[in-house]
Amino acid sequence: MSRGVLADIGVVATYEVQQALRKRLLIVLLLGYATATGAAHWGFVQGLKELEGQVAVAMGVSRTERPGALIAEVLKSKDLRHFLGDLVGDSARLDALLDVPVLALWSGAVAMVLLPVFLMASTSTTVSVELETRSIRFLALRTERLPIVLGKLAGQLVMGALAGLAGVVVTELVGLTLMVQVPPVALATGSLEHMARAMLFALPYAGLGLCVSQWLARANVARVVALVVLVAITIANPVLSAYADASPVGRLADLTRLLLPGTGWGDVWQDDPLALALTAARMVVVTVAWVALGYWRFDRRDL
Amino acid sequence: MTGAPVVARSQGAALALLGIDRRFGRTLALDGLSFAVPQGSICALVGENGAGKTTTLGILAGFLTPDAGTVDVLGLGPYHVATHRGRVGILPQDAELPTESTPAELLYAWARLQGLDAGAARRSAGECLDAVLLSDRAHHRVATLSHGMRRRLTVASALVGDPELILLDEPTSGLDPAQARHLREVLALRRGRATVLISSHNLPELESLCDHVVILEKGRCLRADRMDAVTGRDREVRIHLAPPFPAGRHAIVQLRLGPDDARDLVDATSELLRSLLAEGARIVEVRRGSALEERYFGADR
Repeated sequence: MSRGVLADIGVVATYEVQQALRKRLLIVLLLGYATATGAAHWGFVQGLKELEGQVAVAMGVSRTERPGALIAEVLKSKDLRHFLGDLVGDSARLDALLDVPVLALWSGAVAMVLLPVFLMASTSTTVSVELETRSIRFLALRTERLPIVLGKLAGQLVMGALAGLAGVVVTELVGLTLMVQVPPVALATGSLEHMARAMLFALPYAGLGLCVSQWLARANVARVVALVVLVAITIANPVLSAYADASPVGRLADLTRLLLPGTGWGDVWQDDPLALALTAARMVVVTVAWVALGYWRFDRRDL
Repeated sequence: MTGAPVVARSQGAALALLGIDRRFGRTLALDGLSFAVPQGSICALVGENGAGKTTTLGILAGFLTPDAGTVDVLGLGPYHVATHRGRVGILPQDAELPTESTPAELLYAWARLQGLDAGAARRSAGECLDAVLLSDRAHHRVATLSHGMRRRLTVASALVGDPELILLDEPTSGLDPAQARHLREVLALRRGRATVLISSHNLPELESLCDHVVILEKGRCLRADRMDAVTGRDREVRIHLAPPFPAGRHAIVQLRLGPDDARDLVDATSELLRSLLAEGARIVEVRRGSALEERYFGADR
């Protein structure tokens, strides 16, 4: 990719972010993301509190007002770690996971649910709205269509990262105000790390959303189609997994599953750098495939 | 300029279309359209609604692909970003501006995409905002601008980077008379420096600004010529007389030089006026040619 193309991608991405940051819809999406994260965390804290309460009753000690202390103590137990290590099959990986505050792990899981929805919602209209208003002509006169698409993808990923950061802030606030014995720095770094993993998991969703956006020149239609597709692949993933086996149909099901966003939930949690790099490469390939499918149409259409 | 295009810049054409067809479903929008526009001219593109003006501009800017025919823009073939980047500016008629950015941000981004470095892009954006009298709104969101201001901003978008070819679709639509006049002055300054093709229904405005005209009808080129030739300003004079008229004269005395007439129009007019005054005629008005509007609606266009 030439320097000129990269410069154009940068200009379009900046333009996209500038536009998006001032749109009420994005502010609503960001607030929605933060609120959903907060609600999920509140539910988690309530569940933890209930669990710790039951343990306290069983042990005949007083219940704590804010949860966290008991689980922190329990997880320090060598016997428990040994037992869990046997269960996981990899004590090093277990140690790495248990060194992260449990709320940070939870925030990663929440981000892996919310970020795909956020990115599908934002990318599905990014091209179609410009096709609908024909404002795409201002860009298409000045740069090739590929830098337009890649610049918009980059801009939307920045938006996704901003949403993820909003989730990290909410996680930190919940950890500091609703729980005890949560180390703030470890919580922040753990949340950031798992937000990054969630971004990797959500990347193919951004590609799929951008594909929809390039095919449909009506923003509202693109939005609805993206929602339907999101629901469909959420249902299709476990169904295809159930059928994946060595038979020809099973292989086809497995291949189809690999091309869909939503696979690799467990793979992005890996700590082995090589395994994680392979997962990242697969996510990028699937993302590129979806963007390319959309681009095939966008490159041929009248503007 | 002739109806038959010359697809070569060496022959003075900034743009040329040859046998362009374009369909939208069952509708034939352009039907073998051919014309050329000389380099450095300000050319009017006129025709009724549906004549194919906007489609023509879309094809020239590469937004639409013709079904058949040849397009040559600035002697470099059909519009392609790789070859034409920064050399063509357009005001698309029905493209909405992104409402959340400011005029300064938009023009800067577009200038950068045209290949200008950061400093040059900032300068060009500022100059274009000055040219369309929008400097005081440079840092206001587009959403807060009036219709006329947005129109001026789209004109500025066509001027940014000082392109060689400027395509304008209804540039003065929605502008008040003072703004429209200012815009005409801005465009007139481009004469000779750039080629400007203006699509509009405002025929008096086009007549005052343009030196060439292309008349479209049902997707075909009806006439493409110099404005003087179309209006007859280079070969016709009408003299309006007040009654009582001299013997054998009527209210309008018309002088029309034929193609083979070697006389100068001014000399011939002076001679006719002297003769009329000698006959005792009282002269109300002397007018060269007819208005573009009269020619457009007349049978002899």
